[in-house]
Amino acid sequence: MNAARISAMLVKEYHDAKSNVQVLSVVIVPIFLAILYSRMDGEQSFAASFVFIMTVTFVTMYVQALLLAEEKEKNTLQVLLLSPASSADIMIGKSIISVILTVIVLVVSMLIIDVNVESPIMLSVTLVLGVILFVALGTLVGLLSENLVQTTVYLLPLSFVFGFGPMIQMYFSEGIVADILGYTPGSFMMEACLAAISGEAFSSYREDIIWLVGWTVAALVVTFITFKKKSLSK
Amino acid sequence: MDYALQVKDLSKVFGQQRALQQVSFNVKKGEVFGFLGPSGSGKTTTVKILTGQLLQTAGEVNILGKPASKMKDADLGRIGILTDNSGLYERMTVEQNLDFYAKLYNAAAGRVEEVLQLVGLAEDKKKPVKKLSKGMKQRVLLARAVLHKPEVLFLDEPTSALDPGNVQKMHDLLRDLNREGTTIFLTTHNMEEAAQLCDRVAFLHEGQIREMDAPNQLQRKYAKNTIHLELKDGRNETIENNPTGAERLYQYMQAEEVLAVHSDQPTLGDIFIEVTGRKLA
Repeated sequence: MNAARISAMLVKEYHDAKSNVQVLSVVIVPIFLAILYSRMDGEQSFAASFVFIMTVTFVTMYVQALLLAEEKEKNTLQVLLLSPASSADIMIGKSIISVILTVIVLVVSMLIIDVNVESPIMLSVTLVLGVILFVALGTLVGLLSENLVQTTVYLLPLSFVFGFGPMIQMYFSEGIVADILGYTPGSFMMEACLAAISGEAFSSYREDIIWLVGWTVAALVVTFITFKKKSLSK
Repeated sequence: MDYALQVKDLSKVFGQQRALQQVSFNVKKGEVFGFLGPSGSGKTTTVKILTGQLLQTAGEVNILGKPASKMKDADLGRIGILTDNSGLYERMTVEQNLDFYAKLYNAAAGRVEEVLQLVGLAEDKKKPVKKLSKGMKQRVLLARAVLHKPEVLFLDEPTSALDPGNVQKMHDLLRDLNREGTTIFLTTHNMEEAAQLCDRVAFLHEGQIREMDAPNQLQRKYAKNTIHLELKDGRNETIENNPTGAERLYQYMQAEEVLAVHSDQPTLGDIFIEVTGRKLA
């Protein structure tokens, strides 16, 4: 890995993303939701957890997938791969911008909702796992898509299955659909975020964290294999 | 002999289709080598194999003394590539694009300004790429390809879709680069361009090299032993380049009937048709 090249990638992503309407629009969604929830009556911990999941789903996964798919669509990814930058330099440089945007949106959302977090360390652990998982999923979508339109087609169902499980679960409180949704990453993130915000004992959500780790490892492995199969590695 | 590229018995098969069949050639360091052929003849496949983007089915390919398939990241810093579908970051300015690649290639400080001058885009460096014309974008692509002073430059149809003015500018740039020692591997279906730029050319047809030599040697080899006469009364006559023809020419000249005398030297395009039996498209 080469720090100068990763930094060059980051600067490039910043210049490119700041005028990318698609990126800017997905960044606004969680902030808009945070403003909406801050004005509504109800449990702040639920509102905050919901906005956190929306952030990793929309900002992390969408930005990562959109930026990668655009590189493929415009034939700039091949140019990068023919440069002295390693595959790791390229992928890390590309992921950092999604992570930075996610962190900014998470902090802004927390300030807007003004939630009191009893266990900030465990909330951070949960969010870090969520960010890694959704960076991997976004990369996977970017790798599988040939263009931006295809990216959107892949992202929508993936968002519902992986991110919005807890929201859909509200309409299917019982039965097989509810059971399946209970095992999606969004559900485990929701449980872990709620527990960390309210300061529950770690033992009460240890299983959620373990499942989240499992999902993250699985997503990283699948993404890595796809990366190799798509001949994008050097 | 010091070679930049060495290709021996290169073959590539895609499913049932043979894209390249036992292609062999060497390119000396500092040479401009033209790889000529119509669309679908295997030119781009060859470039992809030479630059390590594709693996060959059989044969040996060495670039700067190393197998192309085993090129490391550092080796990629010794080559430059410009293909007809290379992309740029359209929302970024010309300067931001080049600054980014200069950092990736660890190019010398001030090199971006230097190449901007070289390609005549110094005045337009603050413009977003999306606002540039096709010709200007092509010049940015060339600037990007030569930012790091590559030892070997691969150009895949570099002047396709450019107007004649921009083609001339591009040719001047390539000559300057070659004078500085850059080896150029040029694929094109433009025979005129190849005749102007290349030290040697190879004709690729249906995945095979059908002919390879310096353009002037090929023109000598395929020259017809005839001379064309354009007469003042509007007639054209072809005469043999021998004593009988000389006598005929003398008669016309004595009668002051000759308007112009043309040699029958074939163009590279004529030779290609003669060798392959088909036109370039």
